[in-house]
Amino acid sequence: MTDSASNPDRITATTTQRWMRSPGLVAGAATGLLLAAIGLIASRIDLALLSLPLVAAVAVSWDRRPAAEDRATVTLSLADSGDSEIGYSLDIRAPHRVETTVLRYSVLGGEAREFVVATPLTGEIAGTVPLLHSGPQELVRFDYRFLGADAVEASTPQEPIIGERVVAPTHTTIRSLPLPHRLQGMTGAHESARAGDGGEFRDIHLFTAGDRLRRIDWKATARHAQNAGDLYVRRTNTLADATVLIVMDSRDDVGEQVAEWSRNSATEKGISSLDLAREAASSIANAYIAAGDRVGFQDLSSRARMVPHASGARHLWRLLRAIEVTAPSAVPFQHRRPPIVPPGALVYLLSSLLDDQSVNLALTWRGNGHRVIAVDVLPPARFARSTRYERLAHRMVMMERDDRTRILRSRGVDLLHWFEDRGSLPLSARLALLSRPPRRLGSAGVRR
Amino acid sequence: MSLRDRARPPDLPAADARVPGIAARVMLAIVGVLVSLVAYGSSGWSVVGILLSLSAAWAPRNLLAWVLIVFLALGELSRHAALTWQFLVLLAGVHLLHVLGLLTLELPWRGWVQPAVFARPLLRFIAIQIPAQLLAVVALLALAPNAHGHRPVTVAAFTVIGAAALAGLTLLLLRARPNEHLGR
Repeated sequence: MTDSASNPDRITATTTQRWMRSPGLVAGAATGLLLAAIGLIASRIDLALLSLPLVAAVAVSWDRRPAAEDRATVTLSLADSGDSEIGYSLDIRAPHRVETTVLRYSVLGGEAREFVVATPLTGEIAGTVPLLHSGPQELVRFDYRFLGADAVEASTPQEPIIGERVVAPTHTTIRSLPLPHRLQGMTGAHESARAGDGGEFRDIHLFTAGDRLRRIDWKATARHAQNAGDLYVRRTNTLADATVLIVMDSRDDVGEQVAEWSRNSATEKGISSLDLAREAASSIANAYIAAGDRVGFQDLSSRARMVPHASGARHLWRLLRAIEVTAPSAVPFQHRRPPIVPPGALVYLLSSLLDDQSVNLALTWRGNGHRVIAVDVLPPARFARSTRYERLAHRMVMMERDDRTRILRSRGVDLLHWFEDRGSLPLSARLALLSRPPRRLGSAGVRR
Repeated sequence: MSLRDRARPPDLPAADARVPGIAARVMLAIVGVLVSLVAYGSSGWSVVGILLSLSAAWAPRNLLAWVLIVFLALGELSRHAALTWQFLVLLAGVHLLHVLGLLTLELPWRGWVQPAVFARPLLRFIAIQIPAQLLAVVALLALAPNAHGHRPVTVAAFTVIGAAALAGLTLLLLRARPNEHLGR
């Protein structure tokens, strides 16, 4: 029975043990009796004497076996011990007459290691776990079992006690916000191309029904009026807000180290694509919500992680929570149709672009008239400890990936590399390039 | 697996778990080899004892440690029962093999062990060995036949002493305990 409901940083497991007798106990008893019998039959006192310590050892350790109904209580406590570390400590209250506890532990889902401590504990079982990644993660896991005197009785392994945390991703401040082709509403922070209130000067136009009298520009009327009834008004652009949909492709999570792509060890893989995706998604959500826009979120591998578009501070908390709990789910892509995108929305597709599924989605949305920005979250590759075959396989995967990015660009999907690598433009400059107003190339380039 | 892989992990949560788990198996092999050499000397049988020792350490689940104990004890049949240092070493050796055999069955050989884990089995070993060695000395002096085949104490006396020892052992095994094992 594990209890962590009241305090997630303190996990307590109370268990009743099921004891198993060691085969060595039976072997020791049988050996002792056999030697005594041979000594008796052969009239050899020395053989009978050799059986004596064996029988006595078996009797003593059997006499000191742990009681079946005694309960064990194991408590795992987690505590922040710095910006990038979490401390843990394990307290074991073993059943009466248990002499030894065998523990098997793993940190960040890595290789399991075993160690054995005397019970009651003579020292502290504690350590720290580095926070290397964002998102939900298993920080530390302990499996344990108890041994009686001389290990003649061993408890069956209990349910592991696991320390988990959801680590919030870091945020990058975004100053230049790319906008969708079509802004919506009559209020907001962005200037629309439609006539209305709040924006900058648009043009001088003939007074029509619905124009306010205070907008009449008398100087322009004096200059341009052909007839006595002509009135001219100064028109301004309206302000509007944008609808943004963040779509995260969390089906795969690959790190910098190519050699770790198959093993996916949290401690060895370096920055992972989902780390970058979470950082990008939370930064984008923060920036657009701060600008008063409506933001929605969808995780391609989980229908449960879908947040409809809305605005406001409370909605931002909801979005950030949905983003930080995103984890690779190993669920195949099951959408028969692409997820529904609100009319006129700007779609950010955060993907490592390692397969065609996300590319097809981006092209579908682009074909429906949405502005789509594919955020490439694949970190630059590193080849430490990689084999020649792994490097060759990586090269082939990257060639296919380059083909996909070429197709995306050719169909009008904007591409944004989130990772700031040496020699590339800073992220702010890349976002500023994407935020520039589109060139007016007929009706296709006009933001309406 | 390289030696580097077997190095003690720096982030091990129990700071004083510094004995490699394989030490119990190594000890089992060393004790088995030494006692085999003591029991069989330079005869060919000692090779069997060494092989059994190494096999028992390599695969404890096969319970070869207890086969080795029987093998070492049967070596006594080739000699006359007498109080010698070899017999006393054998008496301690078979007991130690039993304790190490039990530990190797449960201790993870790749893990790391606190030294305190070995303390209580060692204390029990000493607590059993001291009376066992004393009893062996007395029994062999009193009961073992001398060079002329004469026994210092008669069979009748041995029967009385043996019966008393068995009664004591029976009482130890059947000693009433609180009802803590009723649920088994």
